[in-house]
Amino acid sequence: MPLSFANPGIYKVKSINGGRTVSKRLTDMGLRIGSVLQVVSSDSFGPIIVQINSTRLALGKGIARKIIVEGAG
Amino acid sequence: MREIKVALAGNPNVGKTAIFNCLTGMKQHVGNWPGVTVEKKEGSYVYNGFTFSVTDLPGIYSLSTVSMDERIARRFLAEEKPDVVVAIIDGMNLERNLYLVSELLDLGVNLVLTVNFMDEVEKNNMKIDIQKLSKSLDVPVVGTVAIKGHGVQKLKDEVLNIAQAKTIPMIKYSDELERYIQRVEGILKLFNVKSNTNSRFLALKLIEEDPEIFEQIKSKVSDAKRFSQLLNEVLSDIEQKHEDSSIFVGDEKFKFIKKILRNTVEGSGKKSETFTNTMDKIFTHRIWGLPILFGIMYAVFQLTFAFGGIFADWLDSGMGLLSDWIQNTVPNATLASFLADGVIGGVGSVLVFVPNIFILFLLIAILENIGYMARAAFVMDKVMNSIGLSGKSFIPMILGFGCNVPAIMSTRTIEKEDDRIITAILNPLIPCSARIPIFLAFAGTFFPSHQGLIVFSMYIIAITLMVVLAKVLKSTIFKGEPAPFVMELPPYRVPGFLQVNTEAWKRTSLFVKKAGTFIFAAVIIIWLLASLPAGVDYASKDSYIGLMGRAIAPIFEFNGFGNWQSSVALMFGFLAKEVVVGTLGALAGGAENLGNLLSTLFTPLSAYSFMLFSLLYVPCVASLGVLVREVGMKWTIFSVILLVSLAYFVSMAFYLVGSIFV
Repeated sequence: MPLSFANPGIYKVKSINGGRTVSKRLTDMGLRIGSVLQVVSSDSFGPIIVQINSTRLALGKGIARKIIVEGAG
Repeated sequence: MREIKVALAGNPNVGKTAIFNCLTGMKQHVGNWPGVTVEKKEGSYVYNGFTFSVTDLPGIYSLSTVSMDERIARRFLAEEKPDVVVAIIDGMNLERNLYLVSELLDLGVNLVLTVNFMDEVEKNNMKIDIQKLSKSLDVPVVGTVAIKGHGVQKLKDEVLNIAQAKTIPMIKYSDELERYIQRVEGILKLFNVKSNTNSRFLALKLIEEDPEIFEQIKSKVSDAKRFSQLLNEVLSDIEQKHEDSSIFVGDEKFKFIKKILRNTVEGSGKKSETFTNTMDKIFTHRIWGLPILFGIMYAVFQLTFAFGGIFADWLDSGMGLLSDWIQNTVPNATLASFLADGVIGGVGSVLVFVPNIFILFLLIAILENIGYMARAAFVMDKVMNSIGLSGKSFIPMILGFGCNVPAIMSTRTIEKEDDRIITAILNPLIPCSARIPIFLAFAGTFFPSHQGLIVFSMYIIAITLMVVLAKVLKSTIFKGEPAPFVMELPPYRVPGFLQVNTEAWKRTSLFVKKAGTFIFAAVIIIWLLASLPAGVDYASKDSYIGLMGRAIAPIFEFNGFGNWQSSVALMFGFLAKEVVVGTLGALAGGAENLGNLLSTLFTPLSAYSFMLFSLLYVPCVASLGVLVREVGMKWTIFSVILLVSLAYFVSMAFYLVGSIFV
């Protein structure tokens, strides 16, 4: 499911669609395929907040739609 | 004696600037939002008889080239070849921070690692084994608490040691990746590529398909087609086994990092997260986030104007007394006029607003250091999306209320070129603190009972126009999706009292310095032009300045201020906006006479029209200089034409329509 639809909870990143620039930037910031992340605040129409280890990231809805996740507990 | 070049590198928000301050003793601007250091800053120190020149690079996440500040940092490291690179990492966030360190090691630099925020690490019951970390990376590691200066002495020792070291450590990746690196290095050798960057780094970046490095190498080789073909063979070999070559490299790096962390770190930082969590529940609330943001901005506005105004009034009376005293005690009439009219009138009229400006900068510094700026960008993302920009474009807007120059520079963190240009060329519309003197001098004279409302309307008009123009530009010249919004939300931190005061004072002192040098010089010229030719009445229409003003004045006839004094003030105001009030003050012959002069020159209607013009036209020479550097001459000229015509036509429309009703 796209991250933009995820309710608060723990998820695992399955794939990152979209351009190289976006996926490279996310990798550099610690969000990679296989990363386990916590959705802290969700909003299908606006930006969301996710936590990966000690990094707290704000992701715009455009990017959140391109990150595909699956539930992980 | 040789000078040792040191560069500081690290992720945004790891206390890099604080370390820089500790090392060099120079009070640099420290903030708590990603991307404060948008320009490389330099300073130096002497230690054990050696001179160290230190460059503080912009905060970056990797050495790829996604945004402009990363490109700047990478070019500096690869081409300037500093003797020592100090990598600063956040002790609370080792995994992600070490990613950049791995890239620095690939680049083959002489590295000293600094683990900052050791106090937070301890508070959260985490343990980082500095010695083990040092051993497994084969680099010296120092733990620091930069804000308190802990560990800085040790850091200086290590920098000195490593500067004399000969061997440069290297990360060894899995055999598989090492084979690919060797193959690409082989290709580089085959084509005899000469670069001042080491071939291992180039090979890794080529495997990651970094566009800038690829183009750079391609332009150097004799047979670009053959080169691309050979490189593609390696890449397709990788992609047969792995989804994507750049993800493969990233995974390798994180595997390496995880292995190191397993042996060096105990416990995990959960405590501070709960505090940040609670705060974020309030500040980034889906419904309340925006009202809270506006509430904060309104409070900043009120404190700046209402609270600051109390002190400004004291200063104003002080200036009046000083001017009277000079008139009565200085025997030489010309000198007395120069001091009272020129200096006190011109420079003094500007300086009375120092309290307002200090309070504004103080509040901006507090918001930055708490960590609120990134939250403001988050909350505004949805709103900014509706005009085609991302939340990141909002931070330069807030900074612009202080000064447009750093605000324009901060647009470098925006990943999309189109959005960066729009955000930069429209930034001058945000009323910077230098415009405060104009607003207050006019509103105080013409609308004494509605002063706050009138000044507030200036801000609303400027922001509205900026939003409309951004929308227009985004749907005509710069069509396309908003820049992707990815931003780190730093943990909330209690700002140090001394730290925010120093920052605010540093920026205010720039304003004071400007008043003492630049505006002072402008005022002398204005005073001379107003006193000459000999025998003419001071600041009369027959003085040189009067003649100049009368030549321009007719163009402002329909704006309501066709008097020569306004024309001269606006003309000199091109240098800096404070000069508008400085000029009028000097022409009035003293700050305390400014109100009287204004009442004879303007009606309330034309005064508001004049305020509008001053609000919207080019802020100052310095901001234009920065624009040229950041977006080029073409867009700067575009911006100037846009702003000046906007100022001219908006104020004219207001005056003409207003004249019907008044």
